[in-house]
Amino acid sequence: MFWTVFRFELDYHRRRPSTYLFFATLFLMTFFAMASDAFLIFDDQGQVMKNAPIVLAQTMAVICAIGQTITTALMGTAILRDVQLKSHELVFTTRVTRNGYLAGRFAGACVVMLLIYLALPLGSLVGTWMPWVDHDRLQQFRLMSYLRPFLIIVVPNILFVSALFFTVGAITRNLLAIYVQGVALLAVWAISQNILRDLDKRLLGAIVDPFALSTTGLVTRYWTVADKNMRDITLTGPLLWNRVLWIGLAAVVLGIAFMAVRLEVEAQPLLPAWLRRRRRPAPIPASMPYPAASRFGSLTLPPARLHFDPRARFQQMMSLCRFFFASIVREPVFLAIAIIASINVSLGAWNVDRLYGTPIWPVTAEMIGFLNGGLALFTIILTTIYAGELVWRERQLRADGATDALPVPTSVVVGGKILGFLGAMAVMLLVAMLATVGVQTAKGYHHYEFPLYLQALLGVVWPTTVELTALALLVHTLVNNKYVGHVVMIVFYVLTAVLGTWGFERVLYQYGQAPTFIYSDMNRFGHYAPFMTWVTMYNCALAAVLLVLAYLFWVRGADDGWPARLRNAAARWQSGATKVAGGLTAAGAIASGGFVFYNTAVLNPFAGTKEIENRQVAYEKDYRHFKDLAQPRIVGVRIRADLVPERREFALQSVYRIVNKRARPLDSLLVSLPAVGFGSNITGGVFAGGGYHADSLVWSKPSRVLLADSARGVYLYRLTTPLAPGDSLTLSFGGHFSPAGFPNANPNNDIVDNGTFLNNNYFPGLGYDDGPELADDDKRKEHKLAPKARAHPIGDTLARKDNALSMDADWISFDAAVSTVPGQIAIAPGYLQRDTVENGRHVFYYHMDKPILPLYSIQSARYLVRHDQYKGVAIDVYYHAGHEYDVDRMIDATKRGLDYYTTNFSPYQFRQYRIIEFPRYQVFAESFPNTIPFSEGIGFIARVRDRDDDLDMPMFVTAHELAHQWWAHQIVPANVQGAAMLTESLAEYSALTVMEKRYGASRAQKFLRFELDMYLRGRSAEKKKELPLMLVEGQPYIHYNKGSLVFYALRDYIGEDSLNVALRRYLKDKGFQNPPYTVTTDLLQYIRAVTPDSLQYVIHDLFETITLYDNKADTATAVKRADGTYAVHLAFSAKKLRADSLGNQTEIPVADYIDAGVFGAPEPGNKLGKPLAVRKVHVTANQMSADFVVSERPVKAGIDPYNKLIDRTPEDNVRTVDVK
Amino acid sequence: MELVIEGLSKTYDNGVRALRDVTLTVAPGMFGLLGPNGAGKSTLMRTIATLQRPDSGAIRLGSIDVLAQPAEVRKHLGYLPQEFGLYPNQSAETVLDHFAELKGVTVRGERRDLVQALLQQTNLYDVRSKKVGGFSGGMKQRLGIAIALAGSPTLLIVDEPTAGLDPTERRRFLNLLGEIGQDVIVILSTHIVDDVRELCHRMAIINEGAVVLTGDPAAVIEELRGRVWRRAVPRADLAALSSQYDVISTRLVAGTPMVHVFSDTDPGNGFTPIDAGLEDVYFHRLGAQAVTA
Repeated sequence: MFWTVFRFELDYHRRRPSTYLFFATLFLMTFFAMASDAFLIFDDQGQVMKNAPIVLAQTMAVICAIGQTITTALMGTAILRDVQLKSHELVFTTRVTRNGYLAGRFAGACVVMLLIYLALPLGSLVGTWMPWVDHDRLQQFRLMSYLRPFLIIVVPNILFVSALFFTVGAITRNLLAIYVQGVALLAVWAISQNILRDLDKRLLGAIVDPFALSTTGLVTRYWTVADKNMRDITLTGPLLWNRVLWIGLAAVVLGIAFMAVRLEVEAQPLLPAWLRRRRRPAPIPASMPYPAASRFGSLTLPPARLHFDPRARFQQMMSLCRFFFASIVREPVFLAIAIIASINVSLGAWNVDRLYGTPIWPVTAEMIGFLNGGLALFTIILTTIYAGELVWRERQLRADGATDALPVPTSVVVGGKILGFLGAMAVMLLVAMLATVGVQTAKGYHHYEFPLYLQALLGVVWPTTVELTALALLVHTLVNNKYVGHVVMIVFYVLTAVLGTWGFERVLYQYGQAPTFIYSDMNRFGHYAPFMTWVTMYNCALAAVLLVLAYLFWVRGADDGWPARLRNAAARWQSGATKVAGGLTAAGAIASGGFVFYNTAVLNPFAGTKEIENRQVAYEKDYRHFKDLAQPRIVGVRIRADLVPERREFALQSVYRIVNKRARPLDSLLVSLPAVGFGSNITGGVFAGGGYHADSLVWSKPSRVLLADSARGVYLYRLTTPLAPGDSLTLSFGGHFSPAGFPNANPNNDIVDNGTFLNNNYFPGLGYDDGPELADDDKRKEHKLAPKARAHPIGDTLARKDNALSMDADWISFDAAVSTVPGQIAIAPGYLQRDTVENGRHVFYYHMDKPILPLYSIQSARYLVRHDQYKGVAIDVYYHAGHEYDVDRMIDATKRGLDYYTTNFSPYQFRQYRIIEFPRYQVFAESFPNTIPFSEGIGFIARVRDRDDDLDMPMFVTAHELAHQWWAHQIVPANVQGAAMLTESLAEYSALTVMEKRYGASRAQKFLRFELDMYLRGRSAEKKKELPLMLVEGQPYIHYNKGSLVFYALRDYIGEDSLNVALRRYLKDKGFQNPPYTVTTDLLQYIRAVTPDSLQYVIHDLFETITLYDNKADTATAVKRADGTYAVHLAFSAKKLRADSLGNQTEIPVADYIDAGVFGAPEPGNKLGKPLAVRKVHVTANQMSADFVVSERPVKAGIDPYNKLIDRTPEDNVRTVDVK
Repeated sequence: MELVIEGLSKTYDNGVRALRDVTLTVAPGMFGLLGPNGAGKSTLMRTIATLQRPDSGAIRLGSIDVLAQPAEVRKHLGYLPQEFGLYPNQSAETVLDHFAELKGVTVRGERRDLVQALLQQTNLYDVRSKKVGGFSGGMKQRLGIAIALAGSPTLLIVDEPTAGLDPTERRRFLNLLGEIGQDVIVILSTHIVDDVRELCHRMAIINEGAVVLTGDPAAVIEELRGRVWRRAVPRADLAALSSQYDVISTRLVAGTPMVHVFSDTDPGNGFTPIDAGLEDVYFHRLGAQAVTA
């Protein structure tokens, strides 16, 4: 019996075109993931090969998770199909046994599923063989790389999801229940993964992930390039537990189906009887009394006039709207999805952006981000499902005969339905909004900005709903097949996701997507507002056109063939109102689209990613040969900036005093100002420029223009008389920025109404500026450019003549005058000399009385200011009204930092320290001389809960930036490898020490746990090569994350005092240096000088090599002794490894001093309790032991318990003590 | 006002000829459209109800050209489709109110009175707040006719309304139809001969898309008077008998086949004369057409 049903099921799917469609879809997805660069699942290029086992595994895992819509159709309907076709009564009454029937159906459908999903490895495989695939990106073919992920990931996934859908379908026999269950599965998955992404909960998250996505992520998170290329996903550890769990659950779920499903006509009731009785309406008597059965009277009805005038039509439309609204909002599917959406948004909002585990205040600006992002998926799901419902509802209910013959125009019906649905969607948005308000309230935040909520919901989220609804409605109307309609919509969503990578980047193509914007508390929607408004108007007008089309082709009546529909469309088009509506909406779309085009293509010439790349390549090809052209140096800078924030305009002037510091005369002067060609957003990201123009460049000595490329900002001059060594001249520059309309993307965020932040990128530099060069090696290869070196070699003596922070100057004098709109405060480095109102503008004059590096910022906004001072240093925090939360912490951190740094390092060179907030267009803080621009997104709304041991990130960032006044503005590294160790790593060390002094060692260790994780993940994502700390080439995971770990460990080994002595001497000798600048080997000499011989190896391990450990506590036992003390015996293994730049590891002998210790019971939230005994053990073999005598009951013991050493499995260093 | 159908033909894409040159004139009053399953009744009904277009032909309702002015027709139309469904999660009252408003009864008070009256007349008043999804077949049909009657249609089309109803419900439904005013054109399609016999003044028999007979039920029965004969026949003799006689129908009466034959003269051989019924007319006509077709 089983085989009959099984074969029948196979045969059924063999004949279905959809089976082949599914196969083809999956095949093409992995095929393109392999054979094209436009469609990448695993976004990790560089040295990782395209057919590396992990890439194949992740690609298959992701597509498999997405593919569950297929499972819905195939598995959910395996039983349901009979019921839908009403053949179940026939089937159930044959001699088929229940188990045979269920097993046959399940096995049949499941086998079909597996065959379909074989498309995943096949697609990758065939993709690998395509001749155009770059063979340098492929490694030797191994069949198991393709098969293993299929067997380990795909097959168990399918078993579980299939069992689930099959069971739900078989038990409920309700298609909607299957849909809901599918959405719920996805939502529960997303939500649980969101909750469990914290460092401590990741293991749990990995085990409960039915798709094994986060599991493979966890298992491979610290894999280096070499690991990724060589290691296979193996069925061990968390992945094994995960697979066992889900296959087990699959069996349980399937068991439920076999227990619960009976071959009966009615589905099994899901609720217990006592619940059902209450919910079901009272049974209606089968025969009603019929008093007038034989009256043979005549039917008399009260008079009711019929109205067909416009007012009646409007009333009917509103009535339809109410009718559909009421029916949709009461539907379980809608409610379920809306509730899941709200939960999703709330959870996102609840875990609002954490930096090192420290949350921020749930400000409304953040909440609207969650609403905008968190609802998108659910909007897509609901519009797709319900557009289909709106089109199909009457036909499915077989009510279309009655409704289509009603004397109500089709336009009224279509309009009423859409309004009803959009009303229901509005309810969902409102509920989601209330959920976020609830989150704010629960977190004790009561500054609800309802106008902002409404702006975001009505102006951003809601229009996309309208747009998607209109499109889905048109698709369903035209396709006239519900299932195909859904597929077309899914194809549309996939297309919108990939169109950008195919070069379709114009905002005009981004129908159904909210325009990209950044909301800032300081600048509100700011200059994004007109962009958003016009793009939204255009999209909505387009939606209206689609709706008119949907109306024209709306199926009414029994004829739904194309000839009939075309005839109907023609007939409907005859109506004047239709023509007016069609004409108006089309005109609206063309007009608004035209205006958007005018702004994004004419006023601001459009340049897509590829075009910008081409320009970068051309720039490099045209000008790189100037890179060694010797230039004089800037020694004095006077600038004037006239800001017009209210119009987003500014004019800049500068006068440079320039000296020939070379030994020979110079006659060729190269001026670079890439900001005019490539924009100058503060991050240094390269965009199409626009709006910024150099107006004048004037030398004080006669010269001839050899080259003036004002489009890209490159100018070459020849002095009539060469500049003699030691001789000087001046360069006067004038430039201005005036925006025109709005660009397609990446508007200039530097000059805004409230929160202007310009830096020295807007001023010309001397010599070739390699900033615009294409940095990504893969892209460089496409353009036939050699890989770009990230830094000059440490031994490059020429490069050591430049510092890492500027290319054309050493130390400069600095004066600035900045004018702005009255009401704003303008700030630049230096000390305020005076501020006056001139010609209605508020002008601030700054003078710096010491030489500084040529790094300067210009900021202007409506600020509140808090002043303080410490030991003669003025401390000022300029902040946005409402962002008072962390100001005191910043001031406190500044005081503590000043205290520690002046005591242990050297005096502070300025009399003032200023922190100045800027909008969240960028999220960073940066140290300029006595001036710290500090993003509103990084420290001003942090919410440090001291009782929860949150890390005080405002303090840390403040102390870090303050430390840069020493480690960047006193110690100035040469422009070679290792530079960032001298600035960033030392700043991390300094700030960490300040934080540790304030909060204690356990808080510092908590911080280091994040640093270790980020370092290990960072090296896993390395695209070129990992380097030892002393040779770091601008790799943040090394100079920040490893830097903290390394200096913390070093301090632990040689002692805080010794380390600070070394730093103090180093500062004394190398501070405020002129070329050649200092390099990391210098610092290491100072450190070696204070390091005992026995620990010299540590410096080699920490700075000069990539050294890792694999330490593990094997056993820990304790015996209580007669005197009440405990003898603890700890056996551990220790392994020391050296890694090369790709992460290939070789084991080296251990001969290290490593912490071993015993701890008491931990307090809640801490990993380790009170240290009972901790000492450094000299480890000389892989297997060793240590004995302790402690006076309190030991709970934990371990080797390197604080994770001071870099260990890829830090969690096994400590284990629970077995007390006998 | 009368409904004039001229030369209506319709062939579906799959080649089925649903209507072949159908010409009918329907005056106010109850008009029965009789025919077997698949005869084209529903196609004809849907075409009149503006839901489908014929390949050729014309339909006029009074001065309205039905095919060219469907919106006009709908203002006068009440339509009860065959095997229809309604919004299962709504109450009868809500559904009826919804339809009444869409029919143009937009004045709230008038609509409320109308809905109450219709619910009472169709005897659904007591279950008016129950969800339609729980209704029995008969209740659903009555709600359907209430919807069709809302807005005082002058053309009422009811397609196979009694199919699947038990005898009591069928009786109730026919009684309800019988109460509809004489000035309304009511077209009742059915394959149950008794429905037509009980209600209709005029009728047409349609088979394989073509009209095979039109007329007054009484008159067409009169035509067969004295020409229908009956006899019980042993099962073994059935085959021989059908080649010998013009057999109208065979049915079992208490397990024994009872044969009706058509004959202008006494066929003898144990046949006795009977009063012809409409059913005899129906089977006679279908049989005759089967021979000629």
